[in-house]
Amino acid sequence: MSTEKILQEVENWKSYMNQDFNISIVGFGKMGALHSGILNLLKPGSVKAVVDKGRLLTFGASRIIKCTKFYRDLDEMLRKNNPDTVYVTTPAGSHYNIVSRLLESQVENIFVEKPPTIDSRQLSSLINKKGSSKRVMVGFQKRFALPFRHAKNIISEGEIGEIENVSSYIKSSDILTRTDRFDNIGRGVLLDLGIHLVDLLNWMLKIDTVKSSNFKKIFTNVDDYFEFTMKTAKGADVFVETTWSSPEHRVPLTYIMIRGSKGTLEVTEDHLRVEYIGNYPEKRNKRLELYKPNYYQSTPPVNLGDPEYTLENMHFLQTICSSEEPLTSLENVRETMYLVDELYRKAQM
Amino acid sequence: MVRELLLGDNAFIGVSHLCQEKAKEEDKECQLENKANVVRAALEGGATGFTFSSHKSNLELLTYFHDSDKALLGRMNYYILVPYSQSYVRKSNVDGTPALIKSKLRDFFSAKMSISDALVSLLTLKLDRLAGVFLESELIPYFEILPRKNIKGILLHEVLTELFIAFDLMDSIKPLERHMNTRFNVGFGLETRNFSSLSNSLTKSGHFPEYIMTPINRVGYQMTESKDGVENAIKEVGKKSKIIAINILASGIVSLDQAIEDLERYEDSIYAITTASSKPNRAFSNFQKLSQTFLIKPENNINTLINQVLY
Repeated sequence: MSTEKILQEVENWKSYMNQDFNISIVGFGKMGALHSGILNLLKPGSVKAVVDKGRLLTFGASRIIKCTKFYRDLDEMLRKNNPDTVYVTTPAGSHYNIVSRLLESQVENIFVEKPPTIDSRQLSSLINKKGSSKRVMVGFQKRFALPFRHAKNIISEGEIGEIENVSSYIKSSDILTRTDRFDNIGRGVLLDLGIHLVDLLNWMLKIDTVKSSNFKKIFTNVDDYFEFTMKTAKGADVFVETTWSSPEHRVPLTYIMIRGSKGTLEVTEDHLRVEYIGNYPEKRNKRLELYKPNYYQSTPPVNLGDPEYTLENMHFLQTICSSEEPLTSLENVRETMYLVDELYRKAQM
Repeated sequence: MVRELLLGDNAFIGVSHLCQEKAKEEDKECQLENKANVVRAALEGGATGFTFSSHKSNLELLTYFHDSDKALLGRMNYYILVPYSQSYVRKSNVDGTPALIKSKLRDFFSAKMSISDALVSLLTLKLDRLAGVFLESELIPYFEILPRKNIKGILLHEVLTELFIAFDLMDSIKPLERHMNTRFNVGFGLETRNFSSLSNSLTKSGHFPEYIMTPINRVGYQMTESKDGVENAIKEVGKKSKIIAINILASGIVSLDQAIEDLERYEDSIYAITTASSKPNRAFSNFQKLSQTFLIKPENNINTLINQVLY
């Protein structure tokens, strides 16, 4: 398999890394540390400032990390550091206010972790505020995992024929004890984790409608488990299950099985398997199976977290340099947020 | 020159860099007794040590040997990887990062830690002291059950190593290493998947830790910035640090024979080779083959004898 078709970010990456970036990170939790780590490994010294409300964290980090300035106030950072690019990696409930403030500022490029907002109404408001000169990318990093990209190509090239039905899940063991930290948002696993799968499925298959939707509370006061059925534009049923309370999933796992008229495709973040059925002479092998080490050979150039995070960051920097729209721009993920709203509405939550 | 053949712990803690599906399968079949059999088989095959992260399953396994077969614990050298980062990710998901920091600070003052060390590290906010105390909090249970003389190295988990590189903190490695040497009388090292960046940072700082653990395989999986770059850097860095090769089979897509063929090219630069399995017979045959290739050589035997006499 040639990875060139699904690995555009790596081509000539050094040329667009020649540009100077003045990047700030808002929110220095695990995602903030991950993105700033990748960015600094790709382009040493590119993260110039960090904003975090935590007094302990900013005080401690500022004493230890000398190459980056630490602030507790967003406006002070904007005034003093004048960044061209800002990453928003705070809890989801704060995204709308922070991105709104950044859209009013001189910042040209904004990356906001998923979910971009807590609902589609907030997202529409951000799109209206954005105007045409700014670039906002949403952190749906699953779209940058090579097995998913490969699967999308196989589907769009008709290799498995007409889609008949889809079964999928995304599960993690993130929440296995009682917590009330999601009460203020009022939404749980579907918004936090399931949204990845909704986004992937819509990107790969074009979802048309929501048929049914149910949720369960386990450890929180919001949805810890969600199951639903959607329909593609061509009429295939798509079953989805999502939970963050599955003890057997040490790390999150996304699984999609697509049955088509010419074959069955199974894909996760790290594995792709296609079984072709019937007599299709154009296929030399009846089966295609590829694993993570088949996809990521001497690539991407930085390895911190999963490789899709590096590819996602490289994509964002590449679009900044080429003045293109990111794959997961606010506009491009609008349908995902509509679907999430519709799923909550149908589940009467 | 290869001196150690180490059993890795991925199969024991539900990690597969091939895919999670395989990890879950291995996890199911890897019950305590089976893990113990894998360790025994690896030793019979020629393994000289065990490298593991501070995951509770490994503590359970080592405690099992401590209680039932203490002699076996004395037959292995140990290279401990800290911290077990996934547990912090989970804590941060449940309660948020600020709560995680506060809970870790409470751990600093737990009964088994040196209160004065914890206080000094917090008051001075020196990274080497802070990191030392932080790592110590995870290491204590292992130091209580493993023979001290067999613990050869403490390695900083890749997530922290990469952040040290990313935030230009490599100057803290030397004092951190000194702290670990003084506190525990063991070697110190770094695990990385960004070997080229690490090599550049170490060259800039002028200090090379005793050990560096990194993936080395035929296909360049987890070898960044590129396979060629890593291969070249290993030959240089291998003169200053002891290189521990991991993921030599590229999570299963490279055969052991192919891996051996590749590793022989690095023989002068590599100190230890790691491989893992969830199956005792596989562990035995893999280590037998590795030891026949890398350890059972006349010159190695002489060196081993000299080492045993001297140390």
